[in-house]
Amino acid sequence: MKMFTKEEVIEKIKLFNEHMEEEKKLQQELLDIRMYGSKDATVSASKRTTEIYKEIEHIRMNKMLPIIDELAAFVAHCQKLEKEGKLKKIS
Amino acid sequence: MNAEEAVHNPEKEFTTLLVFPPQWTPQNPHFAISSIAGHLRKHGYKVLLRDLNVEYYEHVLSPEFLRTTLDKIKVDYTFLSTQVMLKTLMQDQSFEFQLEAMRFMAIDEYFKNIGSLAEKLPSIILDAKETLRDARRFYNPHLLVDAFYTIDKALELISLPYHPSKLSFNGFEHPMSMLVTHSLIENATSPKGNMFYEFMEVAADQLLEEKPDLIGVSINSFSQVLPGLTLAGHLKRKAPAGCVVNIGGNFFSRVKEALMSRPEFFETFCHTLAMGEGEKRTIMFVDELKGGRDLSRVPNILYYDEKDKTVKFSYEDMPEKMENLSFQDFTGLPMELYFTPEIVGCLQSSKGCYWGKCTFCDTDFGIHKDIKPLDRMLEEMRHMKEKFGIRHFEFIDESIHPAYMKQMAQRLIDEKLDVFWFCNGRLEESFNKDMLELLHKSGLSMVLWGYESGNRRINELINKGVDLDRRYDILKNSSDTGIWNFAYIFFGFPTETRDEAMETIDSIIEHKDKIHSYGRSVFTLGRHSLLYLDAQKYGIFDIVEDSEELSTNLHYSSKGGLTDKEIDEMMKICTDKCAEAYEHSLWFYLRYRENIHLYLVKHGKDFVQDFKVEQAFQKHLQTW
Repeated sequence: MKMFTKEEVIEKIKLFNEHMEEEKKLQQELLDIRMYGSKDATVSASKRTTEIYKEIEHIRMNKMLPIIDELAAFVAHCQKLEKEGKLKKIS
Repeated sequence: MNAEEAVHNPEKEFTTLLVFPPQWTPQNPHFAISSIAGHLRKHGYKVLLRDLNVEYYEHVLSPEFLRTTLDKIKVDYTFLSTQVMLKTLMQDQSFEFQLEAMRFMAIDEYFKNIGSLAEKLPSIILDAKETLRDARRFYNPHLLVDAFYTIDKALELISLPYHPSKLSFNGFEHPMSMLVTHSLIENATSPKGNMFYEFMEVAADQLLEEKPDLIGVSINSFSQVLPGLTLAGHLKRKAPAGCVVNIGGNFFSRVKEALMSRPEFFETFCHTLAMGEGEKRTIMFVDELKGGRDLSRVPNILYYDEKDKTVKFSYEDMPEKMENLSFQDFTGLPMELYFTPEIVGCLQSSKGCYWGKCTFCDTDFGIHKDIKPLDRMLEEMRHMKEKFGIRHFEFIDESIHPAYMKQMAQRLIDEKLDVFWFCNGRLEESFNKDMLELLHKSGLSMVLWGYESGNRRINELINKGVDLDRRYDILKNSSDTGIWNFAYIFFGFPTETRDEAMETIDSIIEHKDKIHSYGRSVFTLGRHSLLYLDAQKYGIFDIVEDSEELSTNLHYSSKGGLTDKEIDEMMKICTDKCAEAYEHSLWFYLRYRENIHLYLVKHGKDFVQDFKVEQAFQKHLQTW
């Protein structure tokens, strides 16, 4: 298990943040979509809605979740090392 | 694109489009664009009008907009709650994070205070707006108070995504924008933190579809600056060759010198910036744009010369005499959208104050004193009543001379004009009992008196020129006649002590039987006032210009006197003590003088004075 430095952890959190902002923009766009008007406009709006849902799912599953997994594994590993006395807790 | 380039197509009728941007209280049309429109149309020029201020309020105070905003805020709140946690972990100390944290707390507080009302806002907003527009409901005090409360909460909601910016019914604050050219450019040309950006982008497209040759954006107050410049920026960017974007109104008139050294202001927002009154100038402007397009021949404008990249001022000229001004024309404005059951129109019978000696005042600076002939004044009132159904009028004169007022009142009675009006006034001896009875009979509902202070020393320094003891007799006679007395007061006159300020509050309360309502403000030093010109005599020193280049504020020290913090404290004490003394009288909740006037005409002085708002509605009291 790779040991991350403080800076590396912060970088990963920043990246997670960026993905969150990306998701938020898509959610806001979803709220602005209007499902009325001409048939073409409605079809287009419906298509875009489906696309957005897929993009949000992609961001969550393929971008945000891996970071959470990675950091969670890192924290668990640190806790294990601390229990074994191989890691000093910084107060 | 230089305004002097491109030639007007002579086959197309020259079209002038006058626009009134947010933010202004959307209860009545502003007189600025209707006045210029009336004058131009009378002389055969084509003019279109758009009030984007009332349209904006109509747009945001709609069920759909509120529902979407509510949903977006919930998304934002969820996002921000994680942001706050993550960025705290990252020890983020950036200004951006501080803003996000503030926004998060503002959203949190809003929902805690408002509770379940938030979800109901989209479904009750139409009702609230209708209460303000429907006479059957407007004149029911509790319905009106409740409607104002709903609208307040709705506007707080739509402001949340842009916190700390705040839009209310009678104001707009945007703390992130300074009165500095680069800050205005940055904030007005970006959707970030700008609640007007998208609306103005769509509005600009709509305005340009009319194919105007000259567009005038009227900016008259600080609250209109950001929204007005946002619109102007879109127009300047999108306007086709030959279409001139002009900024008018009286806000930027005060900072001519600063703007002359800011070509970037013109590169971003406008081809020209007009100063002073617009009726005569606009005709000359249109004629010049139709002809030689030599802007140096149009009086009182700043214009950007692309050839040498400088800002130039044409020349100064006198405004049109009042007797030659045409009447206001509201044709094209959406009169049914204004948030009032009956329009209160603005009139002006004179320019400049007939007293002109109050030491704190400089509103007369640059004004060419003038009086509208009485015949013309009455003709205008008749015109507005017959053509637009307007029976209520607010005179915006600094002060109408009592002799003129008396003659006008008599004519109104003799000619049975059947209109109602209110105005500013000085508490001088001319307002005797007979005079006041005549005025009331003619339709005068209320006088906004320059009361200023309850302390003798301060009043003498102000040099109001009235008998400080007799003024209470005038107020009593006025009240006995049935006229509502509104008192202007202010705090913070240089050297004013806490005790002296308290005297003002105590005098209002002591005479509340005849001072029926008041409006309080904070003293500001006018750069053309007698106080400024003879500062040391009045204990003022260390006068410093505001660091913001487009601000006209002056900062100073005075010997003794209240600090800023103490002034804020006095304002709060004033509200609290008077709310209690007046026992939550209805006028506190009517908020605006136009509403007080309408209620006075409908219900009479005694009703408005005696009606006490029930406790259940007292939480709706807005501190103002």
